Amino acid sequence: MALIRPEERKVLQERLQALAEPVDVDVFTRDTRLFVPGRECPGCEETVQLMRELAELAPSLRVHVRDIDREGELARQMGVERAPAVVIHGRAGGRVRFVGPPFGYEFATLVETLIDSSRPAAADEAGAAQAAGEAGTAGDRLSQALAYLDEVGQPVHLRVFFTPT
Amino acid sequence: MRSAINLALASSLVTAEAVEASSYPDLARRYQVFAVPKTVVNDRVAVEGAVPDDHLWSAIWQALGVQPGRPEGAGGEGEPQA
Repeated sequence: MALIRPEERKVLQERLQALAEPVDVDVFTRDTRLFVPGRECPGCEETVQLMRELAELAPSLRVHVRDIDREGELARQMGVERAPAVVIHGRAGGRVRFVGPPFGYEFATLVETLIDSSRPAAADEAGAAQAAGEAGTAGDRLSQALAYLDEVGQPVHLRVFFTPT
Repeated sequence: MRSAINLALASSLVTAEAVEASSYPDLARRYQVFAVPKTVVNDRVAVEGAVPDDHLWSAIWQALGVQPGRPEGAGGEGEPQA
């Protein structure tokens, strides 16, 4: 049975037309036929199915299903420690990941991230500044902070916990 | 989540990871997640609730142990625009 309902498919298909460039997505899963504590994969099958259904709606979404154990080196390179995990490339450069099934509200975030990742930076930042209301100040503060972060030159890892709502 | 993702899209130094808390009770325990969203910066500084960008930056500077020369979100709007 499809996870994306027919009426949602249509809306998503239209939204995904906003994809400017192809985006690669790695979906890490795990073979759980043999149960090993600490090596679970909650919602793994549904996550893979969801991402495959999404890829059917947009030819420029290139979904690659990986095995976190058999492709452990790749998982490590991408900073993936848990499955299921969805790693978004394109402009996100693999630096945006969803760990655990991306259902509920977070699915919309995932879709928008895929679209943002398919677009060049400039258009997106102008859009973000506009969305913030004051095109000038919000955009300026962001670029100041980003410039300072570049000066500091240290990596920042943001782990955001959510639950499907 | 959007703020974190936008930063990752804007800077190659930033990684944003959305973690479904109920799937990983061990992680939720380790990071003391009692309410969502909860943002943890470099495993060091935690911010609860939806974070405005300015708060997120403050948490980032705190986690990195640095102090930007310019006040972030302190009400000052910097130099006038030409």
